[in-house]
Amino acid sequence: MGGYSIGKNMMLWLVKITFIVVPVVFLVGYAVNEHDRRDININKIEGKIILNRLFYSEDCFAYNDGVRTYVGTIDLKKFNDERIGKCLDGDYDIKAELTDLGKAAYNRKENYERNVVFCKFENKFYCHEEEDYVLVNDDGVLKNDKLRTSLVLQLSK
Amino acid sequence: MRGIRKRGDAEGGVIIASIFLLVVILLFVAVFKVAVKPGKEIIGAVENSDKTILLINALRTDIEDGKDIADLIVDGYENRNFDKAKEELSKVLDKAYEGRVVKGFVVVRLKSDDKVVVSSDFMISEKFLVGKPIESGERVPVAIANIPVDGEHYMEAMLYEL
Repeated sequence: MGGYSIGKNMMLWLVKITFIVVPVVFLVGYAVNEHDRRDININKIEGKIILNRLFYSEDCFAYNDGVRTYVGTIDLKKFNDERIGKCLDGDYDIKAELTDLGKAAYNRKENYERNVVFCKFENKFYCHEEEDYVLVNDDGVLKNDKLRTSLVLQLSK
Repeated sequence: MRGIRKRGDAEGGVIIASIFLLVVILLFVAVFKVAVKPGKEIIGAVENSDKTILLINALRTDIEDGKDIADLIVDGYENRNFDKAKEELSKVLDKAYEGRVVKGFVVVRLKSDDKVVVSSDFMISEKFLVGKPIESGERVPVAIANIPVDGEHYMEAMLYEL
């Protein structure tokens, strides 16, 4: 009688434990899976880093006096399509514009003008705009201006 | 016999409670799945490095006779009159923040070896100002730039955004 009681109790406990453990394991597994599958959108940070290169890098527009590079200061001599095309030669189209001086430079002008109209299709293109207060070195004369930059990034499928 | 039945009833109750718990958890998962779309995390926090560039550029902006705003601040400290520096920095910051709704202010103070020599913080840009100088102590500046004054001292310029 005692052996039967112990066996029955164990069976009942197994059922109870199964009812508790299985849902908990299922729930934890589900939560981990959801966390794993989350979509990390780095478009904004990617856009900012690409555009910041324009005035951070000597290879782009940043002024260099032969001793050091002045981050945030644009050398007007460098502000042209050829320079930006070489310095930002990725799978993105960029327009940079000095608003006061009214000068613009593109890395791929035709592509930019063709793709910028598709910015509203957010699943196909990511568009990012920035406006920064910059100094412009115009042959030794320091002027202040606003650098308006715009990037069109075609999203991979 | 009655004792055995009571015990059986209790165990049955536990099983029913467990089934109920299972149903609740499954229901919770179902609701969670419908209500919460797969997580979409947007990473975009690289703003503060731009603010440092903005502050440095503002301080390096040429005003007159080869003098920039940082020079005007140092002159202001020596003459105990920051009116000119305030006026010019306001113009620059207004241009830099044109079209944005951000409000803020710039504080400068004289320091030596990381110790504040002149403790009276003051607003350098009144037009840009919201709040009182003393409140700046509770906020974290978005950018800090140092302006050398002499071999021993330097001015610390701090940009706050509200």
